[in-house]
Amino acid sequence: MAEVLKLLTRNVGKANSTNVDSYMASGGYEPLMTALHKMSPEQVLGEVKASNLKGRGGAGFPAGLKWSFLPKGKDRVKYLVCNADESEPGTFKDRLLIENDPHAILEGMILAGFATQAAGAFFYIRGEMPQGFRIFQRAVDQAYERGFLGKNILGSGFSFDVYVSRGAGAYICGEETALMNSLEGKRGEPRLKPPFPAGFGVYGQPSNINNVETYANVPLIIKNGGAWYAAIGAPSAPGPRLYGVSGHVKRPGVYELPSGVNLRELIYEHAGGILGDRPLKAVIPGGSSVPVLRADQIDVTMDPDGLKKVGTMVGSAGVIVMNDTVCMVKAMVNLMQFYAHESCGQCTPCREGTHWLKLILQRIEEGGGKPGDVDLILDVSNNIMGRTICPLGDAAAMPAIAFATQFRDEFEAHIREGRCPMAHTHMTVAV
Amino acid sequence: MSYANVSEMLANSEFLAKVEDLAKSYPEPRTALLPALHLCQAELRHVPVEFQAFIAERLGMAPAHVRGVVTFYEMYSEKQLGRYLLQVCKTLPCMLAGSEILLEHLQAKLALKPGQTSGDGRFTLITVECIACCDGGPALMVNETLHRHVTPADADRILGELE
Ligand SMILES: Cc1cc2nc3c(=O)[nH]c(=O)nc-3n(C[C@H](O)[C@H](O)[C@H](O)COP(=O)(O)O)c2cc1C
Ligand code: SF4
Ligand code: FES
Repeated sequence: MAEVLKLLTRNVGKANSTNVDSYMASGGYEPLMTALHKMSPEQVLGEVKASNLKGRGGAGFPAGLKWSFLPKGKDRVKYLVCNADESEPGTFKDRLLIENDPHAILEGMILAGFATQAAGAFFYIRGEMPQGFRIFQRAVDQAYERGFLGKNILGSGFSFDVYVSRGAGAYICGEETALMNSLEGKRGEPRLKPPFPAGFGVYGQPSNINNVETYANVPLIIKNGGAWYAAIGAPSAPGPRLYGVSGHVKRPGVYELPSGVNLRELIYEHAGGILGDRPLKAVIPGGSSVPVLRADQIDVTMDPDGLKKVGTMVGSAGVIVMNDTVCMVKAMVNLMQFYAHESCGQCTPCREGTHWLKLILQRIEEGGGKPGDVDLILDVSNNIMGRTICPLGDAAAMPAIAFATQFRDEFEAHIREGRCPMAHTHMTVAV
Repeated sequence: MSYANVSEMLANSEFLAKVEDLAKSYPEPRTALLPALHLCQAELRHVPVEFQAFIAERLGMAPAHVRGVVTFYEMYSEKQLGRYLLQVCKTLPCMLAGSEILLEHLQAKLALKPGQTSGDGRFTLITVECIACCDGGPALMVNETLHRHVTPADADRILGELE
């Protein structure tokens, strides 16, 4: 069994873990001092590239490579953004870091700012995390008091500011360009790309955006070296990873494990197995936007290569577990309601497609399914894929296709019988 | 609620100072729009058009732009909400953990449907999409306080402890 790690979660559960003094007592801000006094920006960037750190927000893009897309030097004002919008259903790992170890995130942001010679960074946290907002704001205030932020940080000549802002209830603001519009006081509507944020981001300035967990890895990399980091877990996407497990398991929670942990082990060992000791039915391995797996497909590693073999993705590493009491039609109705509600409405295929998927599925669940409905679901989904401004359209269509394909028999049974064959078993309570 | 109405709020120097602070907190004032709307929503439990016009003027935006923003984001409301905003998460992981039972219980107890406010202005009941607490499902937020693993009995206790 893979050993539980205490790297990203090293300060979780410690007394006063959000306070700058306790963060520093366990070696916090030492990587920043090392970087500012003993390393060049290029060397910091070099370590992050060598670590092969992949973004933890969902797409898994190499962080060092993304940083290097920003224009060099200080001729243009550049900004970083920390994406703390955490809204992907099944994902709750960033909350753990924000509420327990804000300085680790902040230190990662300052290190990234030094590596890219950015002027400042925005921390954009979803509106429904008011405690996290206050905790992070206090961490920023403390960092200014100690001279880790502001002008001429620790006498290094490097200056850097951090601004904290809040979202206001919109999943789409987790998408990077929607988030930037939101930061500019606009509706959270994604921008057409190109131009990419590295050239035209916040206020039209070159910008780089990373997830909370991505930044939190950076102090570890600077402290221990890129090579050390690259040797942890799956080589193609290395490092410690925060896996969130929710749904029908005995011990839902966040588990820090080496990337590439076996999915069966994660569910049955770490998360304690299936609620009620019932048979497993389905697993969504990486947040609601990735294709669902059947129970017989979970002997895979939780890394891009392992999950590709069964046609799905790591996404946000939020694992949603469903036992045999769950109706797959009902589960999919729930998710399609989510996407229909969260579509920003700019693109016809996404706005109309998610809405129609919701209506068709509700009709099937309520007993009004018609022969051909499953193919209709697949057709609508395929007509969303690749035809939209941002990936939300695909994020709805991919799981729709997977549900309807992987559990086709169950959908057909609903349509044939004109009712939900599982209505009597619906959903057990996990509390 | 600390102000009787929007006019009183906009005439209060302490409130105006908070808005000024926000406007100066970011590289460009427009970034202060969402935080300022949060401030108004928290004080008045809604964002009336009078405040929209005021903040538009202060941040150099068209009132129609501000209205577009207010209506885009779920957490701003043009209608006044109850003193306690009960937010039941209904997305899949919470549903697997029993959010339907919690919602039904609250609906029956308060005689409210999602989106409705009680006649005495005390409670507004709404459903929300995943609030990043899926391991604590069913999740319930009451104003800014998050409650995890909420059974109907827990909900009774939580509501009982409110003033
Ligand atoms: C609809 C949608 C929602 C997203 N939500 C989030 C989110 O809540 N948090 C996040 O970090 N990334 C989210 N992303 C991904 C971001 O657009 C972006 O890729 C990410 O923040 C980059 O950080 P990383 O490279 O460190 O992963 C979302 C993307 C889409 C299309
Ligand atoms: S794909 Fe959907 S969410 Fe994304 S921009 Fe288009 S309509 Fe908006
Ligand atoms: S589904 Fe309710 S908090 Fe995530």
